[in-house]
Amino acid sequence: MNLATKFPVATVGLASALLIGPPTDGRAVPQPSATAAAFELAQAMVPRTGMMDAQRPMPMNERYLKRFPQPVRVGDLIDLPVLDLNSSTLGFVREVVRTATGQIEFIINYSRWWGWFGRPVAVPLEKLGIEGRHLMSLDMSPSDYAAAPTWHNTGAAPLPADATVRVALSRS
Amino acid sequence: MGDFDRREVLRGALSLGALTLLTGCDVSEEDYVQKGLRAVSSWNDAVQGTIFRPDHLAPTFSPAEVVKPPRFNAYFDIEDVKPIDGATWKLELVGLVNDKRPWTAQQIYQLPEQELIIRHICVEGWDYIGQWSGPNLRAFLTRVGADLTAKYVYFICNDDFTESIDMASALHPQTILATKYAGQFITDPFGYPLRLRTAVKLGYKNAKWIKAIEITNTFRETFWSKQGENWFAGI
Repeated sequence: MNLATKFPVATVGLASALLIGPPTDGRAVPQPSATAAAFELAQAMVPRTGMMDAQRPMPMNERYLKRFPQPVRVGDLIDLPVLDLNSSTLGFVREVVRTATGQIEFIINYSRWWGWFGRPVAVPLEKLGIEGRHLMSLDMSPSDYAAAPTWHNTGAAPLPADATVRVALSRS
Repeated sequence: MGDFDRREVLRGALSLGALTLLTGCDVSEEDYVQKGLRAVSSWNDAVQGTIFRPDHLAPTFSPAEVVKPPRFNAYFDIEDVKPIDGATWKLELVGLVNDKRPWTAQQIYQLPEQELIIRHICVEGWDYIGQWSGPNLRAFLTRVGADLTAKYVYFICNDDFTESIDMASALHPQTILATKYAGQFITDPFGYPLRLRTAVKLGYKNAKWIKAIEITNTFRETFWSKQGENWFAGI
């Protein structure tokens, strides 16, 4: 760590100012092309993963594959929070199961009060995205959770902690 | 549904000040405010550069703390990642470098690796422990005869993305050109085949999908600095 972290007065007090305006201080700045300017403007407005799904409809599995699913150990998924697109907690992963038809489902303890005292709801793997130490509910809204039936195990096999499933990535 | 945007919040906070109430204007857009902010930002970069300790090490962590997979982040959504063909990819070297021959991915994979288990800290407020490995950047720059007294190492990446760091940070012992995460080659969303990973900068300084490295004494604004982010971004 450099001293900037130890002397916050030198930097932190100025941070709010720094974060607002473009810091061009007279140093040589290349003139952006129209394409580059449009590119940067577009970047500034990139919505988080899942927000534009309604405008770009596609089958759930196709969208899942476009999100570069990555191998994740099941044991690392247990107890991860599941957030909605407003970053509000919907619940926590209780277990991961394989259904009788071969689908992978996440059993989420859901409640409208940030997952507290929740009931189990089954969420297909393809509807979730991982962002480090939490999951995002990408293709299932809070109202979908509220309307989902309480899950009862009717033949699904819980996956062991050392099993691996491929979870889509997302970006907030 | 609105997306939370830190810059918008700050801008909004400023705009809601007394001046705004009196005039109805967005004070943050005024020229004098912009000039002031730019001056402060430049001053802040200079202070951070002055107090930077080139051999002081950032904390490291155990493999048990590593988050897998790493968290994806870019200036575009995950669905817009454009995979790079590693078979034809080459790293170009530009500027104050003696040996400008391009490097293939296979050649880079043959170089000695250094592993870092360090905290990735994003300016947005999140962080995670990651395990990165690849050639040490100082060793690589020395190998290709780069001018280590130059001021900047400038990274040119796919999709017109650019980023640069000061030479002192480039030569820091915990700055590498990462090719692997948790012992596996990094995959498309995380910067395949080559990305920067340094323990002494905020996350957005760690350029991904690098296609060229330029050693230069000329400062050029980068993708993020042009949008108002602090250029030095030390931690």
